[in-house]
Amino acid sequence: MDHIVWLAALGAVLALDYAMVGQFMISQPLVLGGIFGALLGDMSTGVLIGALIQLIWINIMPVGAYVPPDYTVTGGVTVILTLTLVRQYGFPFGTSMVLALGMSIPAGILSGKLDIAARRFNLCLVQSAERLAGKYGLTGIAWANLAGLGPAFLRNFIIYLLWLGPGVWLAVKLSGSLPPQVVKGLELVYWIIPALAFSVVLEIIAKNRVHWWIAAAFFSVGVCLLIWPGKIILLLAASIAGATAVVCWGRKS
Amino acid sequence: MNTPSFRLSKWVLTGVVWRSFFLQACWNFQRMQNIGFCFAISPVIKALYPAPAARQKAIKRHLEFFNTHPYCASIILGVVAKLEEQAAQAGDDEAREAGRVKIGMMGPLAAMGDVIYWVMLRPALALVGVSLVLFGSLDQSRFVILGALCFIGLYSIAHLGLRIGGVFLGYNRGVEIVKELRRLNPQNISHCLSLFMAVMLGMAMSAYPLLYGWRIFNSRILGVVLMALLVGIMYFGLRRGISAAWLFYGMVLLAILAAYAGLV
Repeated sequence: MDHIVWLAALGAVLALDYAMVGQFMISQPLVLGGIFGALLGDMSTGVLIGALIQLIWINIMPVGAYVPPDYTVTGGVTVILTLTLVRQYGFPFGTSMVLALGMSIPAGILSGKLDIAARRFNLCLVQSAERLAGKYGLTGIAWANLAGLGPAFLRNFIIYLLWLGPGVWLAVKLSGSLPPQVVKGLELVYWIIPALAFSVVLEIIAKNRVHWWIAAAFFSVGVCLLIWPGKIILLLAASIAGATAVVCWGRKS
Repeated sequence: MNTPSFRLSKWVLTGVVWRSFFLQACWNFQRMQNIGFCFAISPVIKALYPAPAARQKAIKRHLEFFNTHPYCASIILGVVAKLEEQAAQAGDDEAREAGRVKIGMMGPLAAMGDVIYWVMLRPALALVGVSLVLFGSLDQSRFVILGALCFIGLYSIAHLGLRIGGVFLGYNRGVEIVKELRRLNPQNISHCLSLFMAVMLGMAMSAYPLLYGWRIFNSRILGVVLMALLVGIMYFGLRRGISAAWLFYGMVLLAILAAYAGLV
Protein backbone atom coordinates (compact mmCIF):
# COMPACT_ATOMS: atom_id res chain seq x y z
CA MET A 1 0.00 0.00 0.00
CA ASP A 2 2.85 2.34 0.89
CA HIS A 3 4.43 2.12 -2.52
CA ILE A 4 1.07 2.82 -4.19
CA VAL A 5 0.83 6.13 -2.31
CA TRP A 6 4.39 7.05 -3.34
CA LEU A 7 3.78 6.08 -6.96
CA ALA A 8 0.51 8.06 -6.96
CA ALA A 9 2.30 11.10 -5.51
CA LEU A 10 5.09 10.84 -8.08
CA GLY A 11 2.59 10.35 -10.91
CA ALA A 12 0.63 13.42 -9.77
CA VAL A 13 3.81 15.54 -9.59
CA LEU A 14 4.97 14.41 -13.04
CA ALA A 15 1.49 15.01 -14.47
CA LEU A 16 1.91 18.73 -13.68
CA ASP A 17 4.44 18.81 -16.52
CA TYR A 18 1.69 18.02 -19.06
CA ALA A 19 0.27 21.56 -19.19
CA MET A 20 1.00 23.51 -16.02
CA VAL A 21 4.71 23.46 -15.14
CA GLY A 22 7.60 23.27 -17.54
CA GLN A 23 6.16 21.13 -20.32
CA PHE A 24 9.55 19.42 -20.50
CA MET A 25 7.77 16.28 -21.82
CA ILE A 26 8.73 14.14 -18.81
CA SER A 27 5.00 13.46 -18.43
CA GLN A 28 4.83 11.93 -21.92
CA PRO A 29 4.18 8.16 -21.75
CA LEU A 30 7.48 7.32 -23.48
CA VAL A 31 9.49 8.99 -20.70
CA LEU A 32 7.00 8.34 -17.88
CA GLY A 33 7.07 4.62 -18.78
CA GLY A 34 10.85 4.59 -18.29
CA ILE A 35 10.60 6.37 -14.92
CA PHE A 36 7.88 4.07 -13.51
CA GLY A 37 9.57 1.05 -15.13
CA ALA A 38 12.87 1.87 -13.39
CA LEU A 39 11.07 2.26 -10.05
CA LEU A 40 9.26 -1.05 -10.50
CA GLY A 41 12.40 -2.89 -11.59
CA ASP A 42 11.97 -3.15 -15.37
CA MET A 43 12.84 0.03 -17.20
CA SER A 44 12.91 -1.49 -20.72
CA THR A 45 9.38 -2.92 -20.43
CA GLY A 46 8.16 0.38 -18.98
CA VAL A 47 9.55 2.29 -21.97
CA LEU A 48 8.07 -0.27 -24.38
CA ILE A 49 4.56 0.15 -22.89
CA GLY A 50 5.00 3.93 -22.87
CA ALA A 51 6.10 3.89 -26.53
CA LEU A 52 2.91 2.16 -27.68
CA ILE A 53 0.71 4.58 -25.72
CA GLN A 54 2.77 7.57 -26.85
CA LEU A 55 2.02 6.92 -30.51
CA ILE A 56 -1.74 6.46 -30.05
CA TRP A 57 -2.18 9.93 -28.53
CA ILE A 58 0.78 11.53 -30.27
CA ASN A 59 -1.36 14.44 -31.57
CA ILE A 60 -3.11 15.35 -28.32
CA MET A 61 -1.94 18.47 -26.47
CA PRO A 62 -3.87 21.10 -24.50
CA VAL A 63 -3.78 24.19 -26.71
CA GLY A 64 -5.33 27.47 -25.52
CA ALA A 65 -8.84 26.83 -24.20
CA TYR A 66 -8.94 23.26 -25.60
CA VAL A 67 -8.54 20.78 -22.74
CA PRO A 68 -8.30 17.18 -24.02
CA PRO A 69 -8.32 14.01 -21.88
CA ASP A 70 -5.05 13.70 -20.01
CA TYR A 71 -3.47 10.64 -21.64
CA THR A 72 -0.26 11.10 -19.68
CA VAL A 73 -2.24 9.86 -16.64
CA THR A 74 -3.52 6.97 -18.80
CA GLY A 75 0.09 6.18 -19.72
CA GLY A 76 1.35 6.26 -16.13
CA VAL A 77 -1.48 4.11 -14.78
CA THR A 78 -1.12 1.59 -17.65
CA VAL A 79 2.62 1.15 -17.05
CA ILE A 80 2.17 0.60 -13.29
CA LEU A 81 -0.83 -1.75 -13.71
CA THR A 82 0.89 -3.81 -16.44
CA LEU A 83 4.17 -4.18 -14.56
CA THR A 84 2.28 -5.14 -11.38
CA LEU A 85 0.26 -7.80 -13.23
CA VAL A 86 3.31 -9.20 -15.03
CA ARG A 87 5.91 -9.08 -12.27
CA GLN A 88 3.85 -9.76 -9.16
CA TYR A 89 1.15 -12.07 -10.51
CA GLY A 90 2.90 -13.61 -13.52
CA PHE A 91 0.22 -12.76 -16.09
CA PRO A 92 1.26 -12.69 -19.79
CA PHE A 93 2.64 -9.33 -20.92
CA GLY A 94 0.51 -8.55 -24.01
CA THR A 95 -2.82 -9.43 -22.37
CA SER A 96 -1.94 -7.51 -19.21
CA MET A 97 -0.95 -4.42 -21.18
CA VAL A 98 -4.15 -4.28 -23.25
CA LEU A 99 -6.30 -4.94 -20.17
CA ALA A 100 -4.45 -2.24 -18.21
CA LEU A 101 -4.77 0.23 -21.09
CA GLY A 102 -8.51 -0.49 -21.42
CA MET A 103 -8.93 0.18 -17.70
CA SER A 104 -6.75 3.32 -17.72
CA ILE A 105 -8.35 5.27 -20.58
CA PRO A 106 -11.25 6.45 -18.31
CA ALA A 107 -8.61 7.75 -15.84
CA GLY A 108 -7.29 10.11 -18.54
CA ILE A 109 -10.80 11.20 -19.53
CA LEU A 110 -11.71 11.89 -15.88
CA SER A 111 -8.49 13.84 -15.37
CA GLY A 112 -9.29 15.98 -18.45
CA LYS A 113 -12.84 16.71 -17.20
CA LEU A 114 -11.54 17.65 -13.74
CA ASP A 115 -8.89 19.85 -15.39
CA ILE A 116 -11.69 21.92 -16.97
CA ALA A 117 -13.30 22.28 -13.52
CA ALA A 118 -9.93 23.30 -12.04
CA ARG A 119 -9.44 25.96 -14.72
CA ARG A 120 -12.88 27.34 -13.82
CA PHE A 121 -11.86 27.36 -10.16
CA ASN A 122 -8.77 29.36 -11.16
CA LEU A 123 -11.12 32.26 -11.99
CA CYS A 124 -11.39 32.80 -8.22
CA LEU A 125 -7.60 33.04 -8.15
CA VAL A 126 -7.69 35.80 -10.77
CA GLN A 127 -9.72 37.97 -8.40
CA SER A 128 -7.61 36.88 -5.44
CA ALA A 129 -4.42 37.70 -7.35
CA GLU A 130 -5.42 41.37 -7.63
CA ARG A 131 -6.31 41.51 -3.95
CA LEU A 132 -3.13 39.70 -2.91
CA ALA A 133 -1.02 41.92 -5.15
CA GLY A 134 -2.54 45.00 -3.50
CA LYS A 135 -1.72 43.62 -0.05
CA TYR A 136 1.54 41.71 -0.50
CA GLY A 137 2.87 42.94 -3.86
CA LEU A 138 4.80 40.44 -5.99
CA THR A 139 4.72 37.80 -3.24
CA GLY A 140 0.93 37.79 -3.55
CA ILE A 141 1.21 37.13 -7.29
CA ALA A 142 3.57 34.23 -6.61
CA TRP A 143 1.10 32.74 -4.11
CA ALA A 144 -1.82 33.11 -6.50
CA ASN A 145 0.13 31.54 -9.37
CA LEU A 146 1.41 28.57 -7.39
CA ALA A 147 -2.00 28.05 -5.76
CA GLY A 148 -3.19 26.77 -9.15
CA LEU A 149 -0.89 23.76 -8.77
CA GLY A 150 -2.60 22.46 -5.61
CA PRO A 151 -5.91 21.33 -7.16
CA ALA A 152 -4.06 19.85 -10.16
CA PHE A 153 -1.79 17.76 -7.95
CA LEU A 154 -4.69 16.63 -5.74
CA ARG A 155 -6.85 15.70 -8.75
CA ASN A 156 -4.22 13.44 -10.30
CA PHE A 157 -3.10 12.03 -6.93
CA ILE A 158 -6.67 10.87 -6.21
CA ILE A 159 -7.07 9.43 -9.73
CA TYR A 160 -3.79 7.52 -9.45
CA LEU A 161 -4.79 6.23 -5.98
CA LEU A 162 -8.21 5.09 -7.24
CA TRP A 163 -6.78 3.31 -10.26
CA LEU A 164 -3.80 1.78 -8.47
CA GLY A 165 -5.63 0.68 -5.31
CA PRO A 166 -8.98 -0.87 -6.32
CA GLY A 167 -7.71 -0.88 -9.94
CA VAL A 168 -4.95 -3.42 -9.27
CA TRP A 169 -7.38 -5.61 -7.31
CA LEU A 170 -9.90 -5.48 -10.18
CA ALA A 171 -7.22 -6.13 -12.83
CA VAL A 172 -5.94 -9.18 -10.92
CA LYS A 173 -9.50 -10.54 -10.51
CA LEU A 174 -10.26 -9.92 -14.21
CA SER A 175 -6.98 -11.37 -15.48
CA GLY A 176 -7.46 -14.52 -13.44
CA SER A 177 -10.98 -15.18 -14.69
CA LEU A 178 -10.74 -14.34 -18.40
CA PRO A 179 -11.88 -17.07 -20.83
CA PRO A 180 -9.09 -18.29 -23.18
CA GLN A 181 -10.74 -16.67 -26.22
CA VAL A 182 -10.71 -13.26 -24.54
CA VAL A 183 -7.03 -13.76 -23.62
CA LYS A 184 -6.32 -14.63 -27.26
CA GLY A 185 -8.24 -11.56 -28.46
CA LEU A 186 -6.35 -9.25 -26.08
CA GLU A 187 -3.03 -10.78 -27.17
CA LEU A 188 -3.96 -10.05 -30.80
CA VAL A 189 -4.80 -6.44 -29.92
CA TYR A 190 -1.36 -6.05 -28.33
CA TRP A 191 0.28 -6.96 -31.65
CA ILE A 192 -1.92 -4.69 -33.76
CA ILE A 193 -1.95 -1.60 -31.49
CA PRO A 194 0.80 -0.01 -33.66
CA ALA A 195 -1.67 0.02 -36.59
CA LEU A 196 -3.84 2.44 -34.60
CA ALA A 197 -0.75 4.47 -33.74
CA PHE A 198 0.38 4.63 -37.39
CA SER A 199 -3.08 5.78 -38.50
CA VAL A 200 -2.92 8.64 -35.96
CA VAL A 201 0.45 9.75 -37.39
CA LEU A 202 -0.96 9.41 -40.91
CA GLU A 203 -3.83 11.70 -39.95
CA ILE A 204 -1.38 14.39 -38.79
CA ILE A 205 0.64 14.46 -42.00
CA ALA A 206 -1.96 13.45 -44.63
CA LYS A 207 -3.07 17.03 -45.28
CA ASN A 208 0.48 17.93 -46.34
CA ARG A 209 0.28 15.62 -49.37
CA VAL A 210 3.25 13.44 -48.50
CA HIS A 211 1.69 10.10 -49.47
CA TRP A 212 4.33 9.39 -52.14
CA TRP A 213 7.06 9.68 -49.55
CA ILE A 214 5.22 7.28 -47.24
CA ALA A 215 4.82 4.79 -50.11
CA ALA A 216 8.47 5.12 -51.18
CA ALA A 217 9.75 4.46 -47.63
CA PHE A 218 7.21 1.68 -47.13
CA PHE A 219 8.30 -0.28 -50.22
CA SER A 220 12.04 0.39 -50.04
CA VAL A 221 12.32 -0.61 -46.35
CA GLY A 222 10.06 -3.63 -47.00
CA VAL A 223 12.26 -4.88 -49.86
CA CYS A 224 15.47 -4.23 -47.85
CA LEU A 225 14.11 -6.16 -44.85
CA LEU A 226 13.13 -9.10 -47.05
CA ILE A 227 16.66 -9.20 -48.49
CA TRP A 228 18.53 -8.49 -45.21
CA PRO A 229 16.14 -9.57 -42.44
CA GLY A 230 18.49 -9.05 -39.47
CA LYS A 231 19.63 -5.51 -40.19
CA ILE A 232 16.84 -3.50 -38.60
CA ILE A 233 19.07 -1.09 -36.65
CA LEU A 234 21.05 -0.32 -39.80
CA LEU A 235 17.79 0.20 -41.67
CA LEU A 236 16.46 2.41 -38.91
CA ALA A 237 19.61 4.53 -39.03
CA ALA A 238 19.32 4.65 -42.83
CA SER A 239 15.67 5.72 -42.53
CA ILE A 240 16.50 8.55 -40.14
CA ALA A 241 19.31 9.64 -42.46
CA GLY A 242 16.98 9.36 -45.46
CA ALA A 243 14.28 11.33 -43.67
CA THR A 244 16.79 14.06 -42.82
CA ALA A 245 17.90 14.16 -46.46
CA VAL A 246 14.26 14.51 -47.51
CA VAL A 247 13.89 17.42 -45.08
CA CYS A 248 16.94 19.13 -46.62
CA TRP A 249 15.42 18.59 -50.05
CA GLY A 250 12.10 19.99 -48.77
CA ARG A 251 13.80 23.15 -47.51
CA LYS A 252 15.55 23.78 -50.80
CA SER A 253 12.47 23.23 -52.90
CA MET B 1 9.11 58.95 -9.84
CA ASN B 2 11.89 56.40 -9.79
CA THR B 3 14.38 56.60 -12.64
CA PRO B 4 16.90 53.78 -12.47
CA SER B 5 19.46 54.10 -15.26
CA PHE B 6 20.83 50.61 -15.48
CA ARG B 7 20.54 47.57 -17.69
CA LEU B 8 18.71 44.62 -16.24
CA SER B 9 21.28 42.12 -15.01
CA LYS B 10 21.68 38.57 -16.33
CA TRP B 11 20.41 37.34 -12.98
CA VAL B 12 17.15 39.19 -13.40
CA LEU B 13 16.68 37.70 -16.89
CA THR B 14 17.65 34.24 -15.60
CA GLY B 15 14.94 34.68 -12.96
CA VAL B 16 12.47 35.45 -15.77
CA VAL B 17 13.54 32.26 -17.61
CA TRP B 18 13.06 30.13 -14.48
CA ARG B 19 9.67 31.65 -13.71
CA SER B 20 8.51 31.30 -17.32
CA PHE B 21 8.34 27.53 -16.68
CA PHE B 22 5.34 28.30 -14.42
CA LEU B 23 3.52 30.39 -17.04
CA GLN B 24 0.47 28.12 -17.12
CA ALA B 25 0.35 27.17 -13.43
CA CYS B 26 -2.79 29.22 -12.90
CA TRP B 27 -4.32 29.09 -16.40
CA ASN B 28 -7.93 30.29 -16.35
CA PHE B 29 -10.74 30.72 -18.87
CA GLN B 30 -11.03 34.48 -18.32
CA ARG B 31 -7.54 35.94 -18.72
CA MET B 32 -5.71 32.69 -19.48
CA GLN B 33 -1.95 33.05 -18.71
CA ASN B 34 -2.21 36.49 -17.07
CA ILE B 35 -1.13 35.47 -13.56
CA GLY B 36 1.64 33.29 -14.98
CA PHE B 37 2.93 36.17 -17.11
CA CYS B 38 2.90 38.58 -14.17
CA PHE B 39 4.72 35.95 -12.08
CA ALA B 40 7.33 35.44 -14.81
CA ILE B 41 8.01 39.16 -15.34
CA SER B 42 8.09 39.91 -11.60
CA PRO B 43 11.94 39.94 -11.29
CA VAL B 44 11.92 42.77 -13.86
CA ILE B 45 9.19 44.67 -11.97
CA LYS B 46 11.08 44.20 -8.73
CA ALA B 47 14.32 45.51 -10.24
CA LEU B 48 12.80 48.50 -12.06
CA TYR B 49 10.12 49.74 -9.68
CA PRO B 50 11.23 49.93 -6.06
CA ALA B 51 8.51 52.49 -5.22
CA PRO B 52 5.27 50.72 -4.11
CA ALA B 53 2.90 52.86 -6.24
CA ALA B 54 4.83 52.31 -9.50
CA ARG B 55 5.24 48.62 -8.68
CA GLN B 56 1.48 48.24 -8.14
CA LYS B 57 0.82 49.91 -11.51
CA ALA B 58 3.25 47.52 -13.21
CA ILE B 59 1.65 44.49 -11.56
CA LYS B 60 -1.80 45.65 -12.61
CA ARG B 61 -0.88 46.12 -16.27
CA HIS B 62 0.66 42.65 -16.44
CA LEU B 63 -2.45 41.07 -14.97
CA GLU B 64 -4.33 41.85 -18.18
CA PHE B 65 -5.36 39.09 -20.61
CA PHE B 66 -2.43 37.13 -22.02
CA ASN B 67 -2.28 33.89 -23.97
CA THR B 68 0.36 32.49 -26.28
CA HIS B 69 2.39 29.35 -26.85
CA PRO B 70 4.20 28.61 -23.56
CA TYR B 71 7.60 28.22 -25.26
CA CYS B 72 7.32 31.30 -27.47
CA ALA B 73 6.23 33.40 -24.48
CA SER B 74 9.91 33.70 -23.57
CA ILE B 75 10.51 35.99 -26.56
CA ILE B 76 7.64 38.25 -25.48
CA LEU B 77 8.95 38.25 -21.90
CA GLY B 78 12.36 39.41 -23.16
CA VAL B 79 10.89 42.18 -25.31
CA VAL B 80 8.57 43.35 -22.51
CA ALA B 81 11.54 43.40 -20.09
CA LYS B 82 13.37 45.69 -22.52
CA LEU B 83 10.36 47.98 -22.98
CA GLU B 84 9.75 48.14 -19.23
CA GLU B 85 13.41 49.06 -18.74
CA GLN B 86 13.19 51.82 -21.35
CA ALA B 87 9.94 53.12 -19.84
CA ALA B 88 11.38 53.13 -16.31
CA GLN B 89 14.49 54.97 -17.51
CA ALA B 90 12.31 57.55 -19.21
CA GLY B 91 10.29 57.96 -16.04
CA ASP B 92 7.14 56.65 -17.71
CA ASP B 93 5.46 54.34 -15.23
CA GLU B 94 2.55 53.65 -17.60
CA ALA B 95 4.74 51.73 -20.13
CA ARG B 96 1.84 51.51 -22.62
CA GLU B 97 4.16 50.33 -25.37
CA ALA B 98 4.85 47.11 -23.42
CA GLY B 99 1.13 46.31 -23.30
CA ARG B 100 0.68 47.01 -27.02
CA VAL B 101 3.65 44.86 -28.00
CA LYS B 102 2.41 42.02 -25.78
CA ILE B 103 -0.98 42.01 -27.47
CA GLY B 104 0.55 42.34 -30.94
CA MET B 105 3.02 39.49 -30.53
CA MET B 106 1.01 36.87 -28.65
CA GLY B 107 -1.26 35.78 -31.50
CA PRO B 108 1.35 35.18 -34.25
CA LEU B 109 3.76 33.53 -31.80
CA ALA B 110 0.99 31.24 -30.51
CA ALA B 111 0.23 30.10 -34.05
CA MET B 112 3.92 29.59 -34.83
CA GLY B 113 4.59 27.62 -31.64
CA ASP B 114 1.52 25.42 -32.05
CA VAL B 115 2.42 24.47 -35.63
CA ILE B 116 6.12 23.89 -35.06
CA TYR B 117 6.23 22.39 -31.57
CA TRP B 118 2.86 20.75 -30.85
CA VAL B 119 1.72 19.65 -34.30
CA MET B 120 5.03 18.66 -35.86
CA LEU B 121 8.22 18.55 -33.77
CA ARG B 122 6.86 16.62 -30.78
CA PRO B 123 5.18 13.90 -32.92
CA ALA B 124 8.23 13.69 -35.24
CA LEU B 125 10.69 13.16 -32.37
CA ALA B 126 8.27 10.80 -30.61
CA LEU B 127 8.12 8.77 -33.82
CA VAL B 128 11.93 8.51 -33.90
CA GLY B 129 11.98 7.51 -30.21
CA VAL B 130 9.18 4.97 -30.57
CA SER B 131 10.81 3.46 -33.71
CA LEU B 132 14.03 2.99 -31.74
CA VAL B 133 12.04 1.37 -28.92
CA LEU B 134 9.96 -0.94 -31.14
CA PHE B 135 12.70 -2.09 -33.47
CA GLY B 136 15.67 -1.69 -31.16
CA SER B 137 14.10 -4.06 -28.64
CA LEU B 138 14.68 -6.88 -31.14
CA ASP B 139 18.43 -6.34 -31.07
CA GLN B 140 19.37 -5.14 -27.61
CA SER B 141 17.40 -3.67 -24.72
CA ARG B 142 19.74 -0.67 -24.53
CA PHE B 143 18.15 0.65 -27.73
CA VAL B 144 14.82 0.76 -25.85
CA ILE B 145 16.21 3.16 -23.26
CA LEU B 146 17.99 5.05 -26.05
CA GLY B 147 14.59 5.62 -27.72
CA ALA B 148 13.23 7.45 -24.67
CA LEU B 149 16.48 9.36 -24.16
CA CYS B 150 16.58 10.32 -27.83
CA PHE B 151 13.05 11.79 -27.64
CA ILE B 152 13.53 13.77 -24.44
CA GLY B 153 17.12 14.82 -25.32
CA LEU B 154 16.42 16.17 -28.80
CA TYR B 155 13.16 17.79 -27.74
CA SER B 156 14.85 19.46 -24.75
CA ILE B 157 17.50 20.99 -27.02
CA ALA B 158 14.75 22.36 -29.27
CA HIS B 159 12.49 23.85 -26.60
CA LEU B 160 15.02 24.87 -23.94
CA GLY B 161 17.05 26.61 -26.64
CA LEU B 162 14.05 28.77 -27.47
CA ARG B 163 12.92 29.29 -23.89
CA ILE B 164 16.30 30.30 -22.49
CA GLY B 165 17.60 32.00 -25.62
CA GLY B 166 14.23 33.66 -26.31
CA VAL B 167 14.26 35.80 -23.16
CA PHE B 168 17.82 37.04 -23.79
CA LEU B 169 17.25 37.49 -27.52
CA GLY B 170 14.00 39.36 -26.95
CA TYR B 171 15.70 41.60 -24.39
CA ASN B 172 18.75 42.32 -26.55
CA ARG B 173 16.89 42.96 -29.81
CA GLY B 174 13.77 44.56 -28.32
CA VAL B 175 10.89 45.18 -30.76
CA GLU B 176 13.30 44.70 -33.67
CA ILE B 177 12.94 40.96 -33.12
CA VAL B 178 9.47 41.15 -34.70
CA LYS B 179 11.11 41.80 -38.09
CA GLU B 180 13.39 38.78 -37.66
CA LEU B 181 10.48 36.56 -36.64
CA ARG B 182 8.61 37.60 -39.79
CA ARG B 183 11.42 36.06 -41.83
CA LEU B 184 10.82 32.64 -40.23
CA ASN B 185 8.46 30.56 -42.28
CA PRO B 186 6.49 28.19 -40.02
CA GLN B 187 4.77 26.60 -43.04
CA ASN B 188 8.13 25.60 -44.51
CA ILE B 189 9.35 24.18 -41.18
CA SER B 190 6.06 22.30 -40.82
CA HIS B 191 6.36 20.94 -44.38
CA CYS B 192 9.91 19.70 -43.74
CA LEU B 193 8.89 17.99 -40.51
CA SER B 194 5.92 16.32 -42.22
CA LEU B 195 8.30 14.97 -44.91
CA PHE B 196 10.51 13.61 -42.14
CA MET B 197 7.50 11.97 -40.46
CA ALA B 198 6.32 10.53 -43.79
CA VAL B 199 9.60 8.65 -44.32
CA MET B 200 9.67 7.44 -40.70
CA LEU B 201 6.03 6.34 -40.89
CA GLY B 202 6.56 4.45 -44.16
CA MET B 203 9.56 2.70 -42.61
CA ALA B 204 7.68 1.78 -39.41
CA MET B 205 4.56 0.58 -41.27
CA SER B 206 6.67 -1.77 -43.35
CA ALA B 207 9.17 -2.92 -40.70
CA TYR B 208 6.70 -3.66 -37.89
CA PRO B 209 4.68 -6.40 -39.65
CA LEU B 210 7.83 -7.84 -41.29
CA LEU B 211 9.55 -8.16 -37.92
CA TYR B 212 6.60 -9.06 -35.71
CA GLY B 213 3.89 -10.16 -38.17
CA TRP B 214 4.88 -13.83 -38.28
CA ARG B 215 3.87 -14.16 -34.63
CA ILE B 216 0.21 -13.64 -35.53
CA PHE B 217 -0.24 -14.20 -39.23
CA ASN B 218 2.38 -16.92 -39.94
CA SER B 219 3.32 -14.95 -43.04
CA ARG B 220 5.43 -11.80 -43.34
CA ILE B 221 3.87 -10.62 -46.61
CA LEU B 222 0.32 -11.21 -45.33
CA GLY B 223 1.30 -9.29 -42.21
CA VAL B 224 2.40 -6.27 -44.29
CA VAL B 225 -0.80 -6.30 -46.36
CA LEU B 226 -3.04 -6.62 -43.28
CA MET B 227 -1.13 -3.90 -41.46
CA ALA B 228 -1.58 -1.49 -44.39
CA LEU B 229 -5.29 -2.41 -44.51
CA LEU B 230 -5.74 -1.90 -40.76
CA VAL B 231 -3.98 1.46 -40.88
CA GLY B 232 -6.25 2.50 -43.76
CA ILE B 233 -9.43 1.46 -41.92
CA MET B 234 -8.43 3.22 -38.71
CA TYR B 235 -7.32 6.32 -40.59
CA PHE B 236 -10.78 6.40 -42.17
CA GLY B 237 -12.31 6.09 -38.67
CA LEU B 238 -10.18 8.97 -37.37
CA ARG B 239 -11.13 11.13 -40.36
CA ARG B 240 -14.79 10.39 -39.52
CA GLY B 241 -14.22 11.88 -36.07
CA ILE B 242 -13.98 8.66 -34.07
CA SER B 243 -11.43 9.12 -31.28
CA ALA B 244 -8.39 6.88 -30.86
CA ALA B 245 -9.81 5.69 -27.51
CA TRP B 246 -13.03 4.44 -29.15
CA LEU B 247 -11.05 2.85 -31.98
CA PHE B 248 -8.99 1.02 -29.36
CA TYR B 249 -12.13 -0.32 -27.62
CA GLY B 250 -13.61 -1.28 -31.02
CA MET B 251 -10.40 -3.12 -31.85
CA VAL B 252 -10.58 -5.04 -28.55
CA LEU B 253 -14.19 -6.02 -29.21
CA LEU B 254 -13.51 -7.19 -32.77
CA ALA B 255 -10.40 -9.14 -31.71
CA ILE B 256 -12.36 -10.97 -29.00
CA LEU B 257 -15.16 -11.75 -31.48
CA ALA B 258 -12.54 -13.01 -33.97
CA ALA B 259 -11.06 -15.24 -31.27
CA TYR B 260 -14.51 -16.68 -30.43
CA ALA B 261 -15.14 -17.25 -34.15
CA GLY B 262 -11.88 -19.21 -34.32
CA LEU B 263 -10.22 -16.79 -36.77
CA VAL B 264 -7.20 -16.24 -34.52
